[in-house]
Amino acid sequence: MAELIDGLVSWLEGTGLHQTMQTVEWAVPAVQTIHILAIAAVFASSLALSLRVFHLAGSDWSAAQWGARLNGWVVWGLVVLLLSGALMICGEPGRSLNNALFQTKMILLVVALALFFALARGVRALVRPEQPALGSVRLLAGLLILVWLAIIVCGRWIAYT
Amino acid sequence: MYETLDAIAASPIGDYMAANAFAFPAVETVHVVAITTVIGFIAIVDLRLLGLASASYPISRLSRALLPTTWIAFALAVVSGALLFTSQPATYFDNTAFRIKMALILLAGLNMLAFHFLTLRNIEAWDTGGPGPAAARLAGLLSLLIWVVVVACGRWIGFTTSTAFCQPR
Repeated sequence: MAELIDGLVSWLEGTGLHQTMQTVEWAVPAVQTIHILAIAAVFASSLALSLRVFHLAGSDWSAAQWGARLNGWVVWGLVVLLLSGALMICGEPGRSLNNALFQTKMILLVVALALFFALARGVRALVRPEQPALGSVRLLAGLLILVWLAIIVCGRWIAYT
Repeated sequence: MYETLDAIAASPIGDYMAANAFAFPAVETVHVVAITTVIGFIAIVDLRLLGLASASYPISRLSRALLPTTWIAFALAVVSGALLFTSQPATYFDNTAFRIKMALILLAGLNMLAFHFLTLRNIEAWDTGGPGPAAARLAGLLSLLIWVVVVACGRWIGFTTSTAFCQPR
């Protein structure tokens, strides 16, 4: 695994994208800005949906309606996060790919994806506004927020390690 | 002004934020969670004002559903932001991106006040579904644009003030 990462790092360091991210002064903050806006889309959409599952906000609409409104923002937000994240990795492949927090973040991301798709599925059945969510759906909603928070913590700390 | 800023830096909180290697990234993480919640929730309302999403949700009820969380997150963003500021107050005060960011947040507040007190006055007439009147759409568009630039300024502050916060004074 370590060899694979080393190979990837040296390949990335030879790319033109790496040069661009290293030399164009505004490239890194611009990509980071896009990354944060995409976090806003993914995290806030997940939070709003979870609050609705717990009957804490937006009871005019059913949970299923909220899911239909917000799921796309989570999915497309994640696509933007992956692309902007990949650009940041191109900029500093050694520092990111070898970082234990980065690796933890990627594992947590897989967990978050599984939780999100399970939650999206569970929410689809909640078509009446007053319908209470099953304990399992509430658990998914709570866990999803906790995992996103852990991912954000890892992301911010990568810069300091 | 700089005397005040230096006094903030020399205060126990300012000293702690600057000297403790753990404090700055921890507070910064709280700041990221808070601002992404604020901007995400505001964007849901802005897109509704523009008539681009959740058109069947009456505007008054949608904003009532999302405002409590938005305000809690905004308070958290202000407190965490103030703590970050104490780590090197004079540096931030002199920073152009920081000044633009503060001015834009003020502008976002004014936009919200104008919307609240002028446009919402006759909301009963259009609080049904579909896009609001032109003034409501303008408020939504302005808000979206302002908050996107606020995020960019925030990131630029980090870049133009360097990592001096870890250095001993």
